[in-house]
Amino acid sequence: MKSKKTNNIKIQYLHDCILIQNQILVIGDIHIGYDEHFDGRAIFPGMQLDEIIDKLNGIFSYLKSRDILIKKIILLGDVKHDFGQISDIEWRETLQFLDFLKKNSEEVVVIRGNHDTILEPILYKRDIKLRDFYKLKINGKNICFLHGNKLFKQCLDKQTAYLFFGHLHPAIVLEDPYKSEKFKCFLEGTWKNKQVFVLPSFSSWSYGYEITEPNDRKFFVIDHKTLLSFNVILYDSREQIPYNFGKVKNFR
Amino acid sequence: MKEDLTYPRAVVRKEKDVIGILDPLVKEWFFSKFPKFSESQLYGVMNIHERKNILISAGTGSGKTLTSFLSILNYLVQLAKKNELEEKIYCVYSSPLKALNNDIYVNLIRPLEEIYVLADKKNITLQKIRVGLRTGDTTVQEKAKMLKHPPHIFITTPESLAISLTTKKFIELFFGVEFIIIDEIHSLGNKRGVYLSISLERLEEISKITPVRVGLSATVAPLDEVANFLVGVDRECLIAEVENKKTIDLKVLTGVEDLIETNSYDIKSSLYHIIDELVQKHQTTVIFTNTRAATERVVNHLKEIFPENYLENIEVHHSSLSKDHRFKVEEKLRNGELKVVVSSTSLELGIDIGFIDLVILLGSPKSSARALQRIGRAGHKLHDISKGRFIVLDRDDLVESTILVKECVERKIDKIHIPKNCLDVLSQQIYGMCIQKTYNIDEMFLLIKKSYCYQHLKKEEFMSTISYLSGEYALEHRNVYAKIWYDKKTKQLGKKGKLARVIYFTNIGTIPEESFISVVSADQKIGVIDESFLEKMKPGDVFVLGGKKYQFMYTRGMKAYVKSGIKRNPTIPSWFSEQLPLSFESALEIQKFRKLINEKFEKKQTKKEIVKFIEEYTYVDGVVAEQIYLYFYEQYHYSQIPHSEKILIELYKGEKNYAIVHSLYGRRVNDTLSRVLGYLMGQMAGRDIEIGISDNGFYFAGEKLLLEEAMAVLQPTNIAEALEEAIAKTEILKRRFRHCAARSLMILRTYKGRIKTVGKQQMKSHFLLSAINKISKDFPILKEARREVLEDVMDVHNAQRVLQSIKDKKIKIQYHATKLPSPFALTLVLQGYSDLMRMEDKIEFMKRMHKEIIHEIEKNK
Repeated sequence: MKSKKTNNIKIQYLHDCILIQNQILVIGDIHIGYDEHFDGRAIFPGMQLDEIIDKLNGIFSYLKSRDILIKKIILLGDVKHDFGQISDIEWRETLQFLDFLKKNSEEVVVIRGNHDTILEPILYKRDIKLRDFYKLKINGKNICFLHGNKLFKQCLDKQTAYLFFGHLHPAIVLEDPYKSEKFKCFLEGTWKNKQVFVLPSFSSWSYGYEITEPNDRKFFVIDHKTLLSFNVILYDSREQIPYNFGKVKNFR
Repeated sequence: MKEDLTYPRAVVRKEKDVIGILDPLVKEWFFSKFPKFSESQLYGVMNIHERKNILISAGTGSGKTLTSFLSILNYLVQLAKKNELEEKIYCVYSSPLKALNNDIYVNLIRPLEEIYVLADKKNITLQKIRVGLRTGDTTVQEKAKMLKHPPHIFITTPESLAISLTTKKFIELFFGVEFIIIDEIHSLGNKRGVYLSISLERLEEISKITPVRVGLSATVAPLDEVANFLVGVDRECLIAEVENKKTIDLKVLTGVEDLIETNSYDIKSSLYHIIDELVQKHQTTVIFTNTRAATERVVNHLKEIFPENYLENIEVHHSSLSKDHRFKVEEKLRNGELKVVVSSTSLELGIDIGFIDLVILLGSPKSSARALQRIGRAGHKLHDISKGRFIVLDRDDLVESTILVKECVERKIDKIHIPKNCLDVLSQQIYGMCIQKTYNIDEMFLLIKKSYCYQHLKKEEFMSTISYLSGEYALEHRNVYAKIWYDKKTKQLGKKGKLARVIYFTNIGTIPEESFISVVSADQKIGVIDESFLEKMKPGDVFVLGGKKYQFMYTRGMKAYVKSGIKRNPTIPSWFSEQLPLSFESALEIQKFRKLINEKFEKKQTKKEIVKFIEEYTYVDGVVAEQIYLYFYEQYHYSQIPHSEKILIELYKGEKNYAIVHSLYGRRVNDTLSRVLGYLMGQMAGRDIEIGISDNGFYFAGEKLLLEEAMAVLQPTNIAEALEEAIAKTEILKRRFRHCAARSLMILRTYKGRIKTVGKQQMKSHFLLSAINKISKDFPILKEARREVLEDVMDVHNAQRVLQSIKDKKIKIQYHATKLPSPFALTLVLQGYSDLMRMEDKIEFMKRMHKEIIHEIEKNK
């Protein structure tokens, strides 16, 4: 496991997540209920949740084998996919998911995403607050977690050294003359004097947005021009190694 | 398996016998219009009168439509005279064409009108014989009118027939159907036909009288199979093969003396000059091209080069144009207002288009049946001459067209392919049957197995389709989205949900929708592509449009967004979308021809002797024969001539290693062989392999080609299994799965009045497929998508035959190392590649790319 020590704060890439100080697990957009989208009726409901839980179980047992215990899980928004009403299955699945997270850590923090218009009543059942952003202080530095569709001035103060975003679902296409394959990726760079990390979506169902293209499909707080100077990080989930592919603009 | 039934041939009946059965009124009308019976009438009228099932195969203009109606009209007139006509449908006539076409007018409506005029004159009172039309365009009022006073002759399409069979009030009208006519049966060798075959069984079950089945077909083969398809299992049928009296006059034209030395610009320009010359010499010409895009191109070029000749008198006619436009063109043709019409496949069907004296075929029509169908459009009347001119575009096209002309003249017709055991069509039909009434499952199974297309359907396959429809495949206790209920105890099954009927009506059909999509880059419209072409692409694919490369990104509505300035090679060749495959039978004929020529070279015959042989064996003139000779001469001396007993494999090294396999079996067999061999080689070497296919062969390119090893593994016995593995992750399977999912109503095209775009359907099907893959490999609709790829898109059965011949040493494999591709290989390689076998692990690929990129970054520092 390679890690990055900046000002004594340990930040590591881990699958599609980020691990901070060996204690905090940050997870990107999950989009539970993506399969519910089929004419309002699921054909194979539950499949997606089973898969997400399997994937997280893999991560937790890997951490356990290294004696790492997670104290806090931070979800960067868009936990749920749907905008509209909540169906019975969705209620059940979301609760099941929250219970699973609580079993594996002391605290669960949930940030509001643009899809999470109706998440609050479910969270309320498990005493979890839905936040616009979340701030932490580690070794004298402020770290701020937010979704990425909206900016809050509290996140831009001088004491904040790190920003973590979801929302964008970054992905990159690698190609040689014969083929091309799309990979989900992390983005890492500097914006407004802060160190920024953008996480890929956690859901295996979503394709990802090709980061080299101008983003005209959804609003993200960091402009595309700035993103071009960010580094692209791909993760080898077999050998647990992150690869730095250099700047986004090199791919253009 | 009794697959190859033979049916007795009908014989020509005596004229006086046929006259004997006619009602005096009908007789008088008939002979006031015609001097005597046509041959097809002598074959058919008596047999239909005697209530015998019959398949009538005859060319256009033989009067077969009137044959089928004459005995029925006669019967109805007799009843009408006696005032015995009942309020029911006597005859169901199904045609693949949507509109009440001119054929029906001429052969049914007008005769009826004339008979009434005649009856009036003679003071005979006749009950009104009603003709009713139901298609997708029929209004609610018209349908209501039909229910009040049912048409005695009901004219419909396969789709509308299926809807009628699920409408309670309509079903009652079918209780006494006595005749079923299936027109253009030769065009039903597809899922539409499969669909109709079950509808016919349902109709037969509903009617208390066993209806006579009459099939009308253009020249088609094998007739016995088509007859079997018409009547179903264990029923008798007669086959009337009406001799074609039309003389055909065919020629192959190249335009230039040497197809290889002349540059493409000159070939093109001379081509249009030939076309213009031919058109000007004739009254009305139909030009057939093989793609819809080409029709537009031909019209534009003709208008541009000869502005004085073509203005208002030239039109295009293809299936993507609006119905109104097509009607207008047909109308203009009938009125003789057009000099020339350019069409792809849409004018092949028996639409009446008036007098045509010349058909030009631009590029090989790829099968003798299609060639005859196209040429038959010229000289519509029985004793006219059908004049056809094949204009060829390259040397393979030249050889191919030459052999097709030979097959046409000698009436060698290639075989129709009727799909079998299609589980998606079955799902739609079972759903329809459940809407019709509550069924007993055993009775339903027996009914379905009476259809020719389902006679070998296995009980497990049937039951797994029932499981899908009744929602059993959904995970435990999450029993959602069931369309039917099935009670194992009572063995009963029926529809579920209040919307069932609406969902069925609005989503019925077997043809995937198609339309044109605008291609947009940086807010600028670049051009249009066919939707079927778009279907073949996934984000990231590179394609060529108007000579430039674009990368496909995503679609929104009817627009495809692309990126320009792409370096990568195209991943999808531009001809890919509509290419017609060369038929297996015609391919074998070309192979035979190659073998004969090869023998002449081996025997060291002179040029004169060989050219003479070509002239005699085929039907081409000396100039063309010489061009063919030259092509074979170059191949023989540079390399070897592959033929029916020898597959030549050329190995050469360019940027990569190439293996060019000369297997002239048509694209469908080559698609099969290349994919499975590519997959096996890729597995052995662990690297990607590029594949290109054509009708004449295929090639591989890659770092490591273990072709001999792969050939050793591949057997006639394991090819199907290996192929299923090879296609598991391909785009073609995904695409076909989407079609099958739509046909089996897993994906609804319209739901609650909203129409879902193809893009949305695509996303659903992507999601569904990955879910299904986790549940069961044998999920019926996935199984059907695989069957469709293996048997309908590819041709696993004939590929098996080829492998068996290799195993039995009837076909020799010859490897030949070469510095440059041989003349026969040129077109093959130039066509570019059609697919990439992805064998390299995704993470391995990522690491390799990382190394390259880091190297690049270091270099630039």
